[in-house]
Amino acid sequence: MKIIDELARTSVKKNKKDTFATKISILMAVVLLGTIIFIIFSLRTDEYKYVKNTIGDYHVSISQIDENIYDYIEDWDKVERLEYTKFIDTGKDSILYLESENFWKLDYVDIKKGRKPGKPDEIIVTDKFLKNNHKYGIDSNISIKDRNYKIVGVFEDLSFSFEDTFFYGLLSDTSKENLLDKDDALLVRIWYKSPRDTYSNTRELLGKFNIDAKKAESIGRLYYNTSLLEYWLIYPSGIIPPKDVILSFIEVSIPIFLLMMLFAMMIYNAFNVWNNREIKEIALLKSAGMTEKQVKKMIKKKVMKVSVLPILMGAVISYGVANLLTYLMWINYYISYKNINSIYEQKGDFSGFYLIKFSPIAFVIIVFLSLITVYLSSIVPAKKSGKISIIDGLRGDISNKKKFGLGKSKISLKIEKSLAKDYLKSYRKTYRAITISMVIAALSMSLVLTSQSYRELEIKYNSKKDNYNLSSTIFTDGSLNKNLIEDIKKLANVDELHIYSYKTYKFFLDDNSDVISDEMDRSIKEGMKTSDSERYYLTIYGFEKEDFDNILKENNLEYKDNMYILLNKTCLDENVPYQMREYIPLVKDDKTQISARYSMEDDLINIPIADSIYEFPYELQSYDKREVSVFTTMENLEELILKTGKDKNDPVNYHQVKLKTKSDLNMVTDDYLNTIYKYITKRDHNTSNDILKEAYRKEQIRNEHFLNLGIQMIFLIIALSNAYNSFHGNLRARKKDFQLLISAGMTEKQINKMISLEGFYLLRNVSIVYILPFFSIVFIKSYRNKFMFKPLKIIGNINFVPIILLFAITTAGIFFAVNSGRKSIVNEDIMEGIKEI
Amino acid sequence: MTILKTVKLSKIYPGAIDVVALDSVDFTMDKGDLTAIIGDSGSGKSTLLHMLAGVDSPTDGKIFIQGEDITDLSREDMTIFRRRNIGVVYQFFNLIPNISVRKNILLPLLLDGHREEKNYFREVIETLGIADKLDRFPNQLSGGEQQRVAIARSLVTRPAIVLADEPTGNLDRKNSEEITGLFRLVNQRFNSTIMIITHDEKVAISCDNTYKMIDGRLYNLEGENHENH
Ligand SMILES: Nc1ncnc2c1ncn2[C@@H]1O[C@H](COP(=O)(O)OP(=O)(O)OP(=O)(O)O)[C@@H](O)[C@H]1O
Ligand SMILES: [Mg+2]
Repeated sequence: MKIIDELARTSVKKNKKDTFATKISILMAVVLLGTIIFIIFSLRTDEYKYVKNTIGDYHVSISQIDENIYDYIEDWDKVERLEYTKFIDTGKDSILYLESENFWKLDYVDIKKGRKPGKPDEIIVTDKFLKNNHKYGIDSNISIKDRNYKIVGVFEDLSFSFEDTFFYGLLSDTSKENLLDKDDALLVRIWYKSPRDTYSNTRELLGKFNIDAKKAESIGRLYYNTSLLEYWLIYPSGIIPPKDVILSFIEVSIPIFLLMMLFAMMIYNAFNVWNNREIKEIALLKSAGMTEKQVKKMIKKKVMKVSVLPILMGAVISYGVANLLTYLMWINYYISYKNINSIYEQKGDFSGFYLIKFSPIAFVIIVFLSLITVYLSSIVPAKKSGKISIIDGLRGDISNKKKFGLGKSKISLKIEKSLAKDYLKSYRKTYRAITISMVIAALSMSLVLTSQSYRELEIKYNSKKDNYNLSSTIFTDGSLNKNLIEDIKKLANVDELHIYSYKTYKFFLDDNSDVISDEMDRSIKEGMKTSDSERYYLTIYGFEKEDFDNILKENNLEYKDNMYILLNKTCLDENVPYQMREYIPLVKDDKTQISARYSMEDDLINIPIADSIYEFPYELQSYDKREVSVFTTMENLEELILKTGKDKNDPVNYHQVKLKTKSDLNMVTDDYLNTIYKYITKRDHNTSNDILKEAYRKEQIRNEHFLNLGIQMIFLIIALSNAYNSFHGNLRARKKDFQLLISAGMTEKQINKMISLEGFYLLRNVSIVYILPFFSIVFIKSYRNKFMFKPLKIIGNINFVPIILLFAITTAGIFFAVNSGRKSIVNEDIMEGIKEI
Repeated sequence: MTILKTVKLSKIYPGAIDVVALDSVDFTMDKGDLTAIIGDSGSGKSTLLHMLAGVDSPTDGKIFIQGEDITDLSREDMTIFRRRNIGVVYQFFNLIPNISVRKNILLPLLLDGHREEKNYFREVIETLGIADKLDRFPNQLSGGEQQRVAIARSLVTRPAIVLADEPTGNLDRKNSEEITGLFRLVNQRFNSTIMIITHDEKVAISCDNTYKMIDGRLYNLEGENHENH
């Protein structure tokens, strides 16, 4: 109805000054909420799009498809669409993947030269293949299994140089005979009619053919397109997400929820603090025939009128802020990227900055969430207004005296103090709401600071400083080239150098139950170490003879053939930060035998332990909480690998180079890289030095600073406008009380004092209410990480400056409100006040 | 024709000591009556008005307005009934400050989604002498003018009855007399049924009937009035 609209509009217009702070608070809350949502959305859709564009939007893929399965799925009514990949063993140490036409519309394969296969019998190959087979090039023909193919392009290949290469082609012949050719293998991608039933359908299918789903998944025969399914909120157990998804959802929701709460409280405060005139107005309107429904409608309209503009603006601004944040992070990344490139003197591909895509859905969600919050928080004030009794309202009687007892106030107190307490009591409800919103603001800030504190503690205590300036991992097929080792040793300006190989096996507790020490047993039983057998592993380090001899000498051990020595040491409690860990023996006896395997299915490998040591040699590595470390010579390790065969899941051999230098690290790094490039390709190593690490560290620190600063700023603005807003509104509401007090002889000074005291009591209450949830936040954070850091430790490390600032700014907000509130009370013509009554 | 009738109307405010504000009041008004109710402070006059206006409900008894028992109405129905059938004027704060005088007068109609009857509206504002003030805002009017606007609003729906609670209590002698005169005028010109609560003997004297409220009981002071009539 027009009149209700007009009443709402004029009332908002007339109280422009009062609503300004409300609008600012709403704007800020929406900006913060919107920024979070825009970023989450962009991350989510980016991932979704990436997956959709690269691996495709199928639901599940299954390989090793035989005729039985083929026949079944071809006729299965639950299937919407099927696509096949055919694998042909070329006999040239490589496999040809024939992919469907739709596959070639994706960006799965990155073409470096030439083009994608567009016709049957066209294939693409890798650089590696062309390098090793000089007679082939783009446009040349190649015969694979009696069939002629034409090479039309080269694709980007990320495998190690020594790994098998493969080709891609177009699967044109999709007849059953061709697909099920007995020499070749077949994979199917399935789109179900109902994606929601992906997991149950697949389990049903596998069950029919007696395939163990768990095993199939672990060996990669079965692959669910999880990121896509999760995007669609489809989980193995239906729509109920698994624990980790729930946890991460909660982690994202908590700040959003807190913000919405804060938001709701602010609006509630802004509209629930009634001044006498408004109450009278409503009473009058009611007596002139405005129904309760119409009153509610009017109040809700009023709330909407105040909030729509800030909500829309906030949503738009938040898009800008989200982009600004990503831009800052991009710049930041760009800085370290430049630093890193100057180290390697190479040009990598570096994606330029691009704007977060403006997602209309995100925008709608932000506006929707905000409006819902506004609407919900207007319900109570609206209901209250609707219930205002005409008689009481016309008398200007709004306090709910009945509800609290006679509240004896001590006359013996100073009058200002006693009145301040009286008012605090009679406006208890209003003050409660103000308190809550202040506490929420402080808590949201604390949430941020607690995580920050935790991360800092992690860095400080849960890591070990690497004493080596340069560390490089080299990946090979076989053993490390001896000439390469010699050349590295010839590098100039190197003060200390160690080269060693290593190989990792599973260390199942059951395989070693006889030798594990009682201390470790106890530790596992008491939950200080994990009882999950899969998570322990054995790493065998193969040192150069010289290094190994030194280790023996330092530990007074005699060299024997085929000698393995054990680091008989494991941490007592893996949930204690690294720097504070205590250690216990790993096995009962220093001379013993331990057992390991590549995986559950593989054979047991027994390692005789000649003796034990208790320090990691040369401090090459930190003590991993679940690693069992064994040392031998490089030759022994090579022999062992030869004897046991390669690990099917990880056939690569790893070699580590670590060095210390006091000279120019950049120069040494250059020399080092030039040396190894004589033997291996760029793809087969991973090298990092202190400069690089420092660059990354700085990038991260800068990122955190940006984020924290931004978030803190916004919270501070919210706190300020919120405090000002609520307190000011409250004072205005009590204008008549003040005028009466003045006319009863209270001086301005006394009024001032009384109001300030109220502010003080309010702050005191806020602090009291803040303490408990604050401790809970810290406690939960600590608990979530199994008390790695005790709550007190986290509190001790929290940067309290922003919190103190927040309280200071809240105080300032109250102070401003007191000032302007008092001015408007005292300066206003006393007659004006009375006339209004 | 009987417009208003109460039957054994009682109101007790419960508390540590119950206050009997109205005690079995039987009261009737006919079409075109102009009735005054006087009484000491605290005797229950306003309470009676609140009951008749339906903004509070009686502890006991019945109220009929144009034959409709308003004590039976739900709150929502009562509100609608009130805005169509009852005009109320208070001692002060009768107007909404942020809307124009015109809208203030038309408020009950607007809330009902109705348009005004042009001629009747003209007549009312001309009778009350506020035709030239329609586009002003309440705070640009004197106290007397504000009361005229309030009376205009109480009439705009052609209510069955107009209830006024000390409408002149806030005004000086001259204005007070003018407003009283206006009630008289309105009563005659529109044949309205009007009940005025007042402290002012002079106001009471100018009415047709006068009742006196004493401790929640209503007494007719018929004899005194006739000579003035
Ligand atoms: N809400 C209430 N609760 C308790 N008692 C009330 C309430 N409202 C009125 N009363 C009491 O009821 C009695 C009648 O009050 P009412 O307001 O009707 O008096 P009145 O005749 O209008 O007086 P005045 O001329 O001063 O306006 C008084 O004793 C008053 O104290
Ligand atoms: Mg009264």
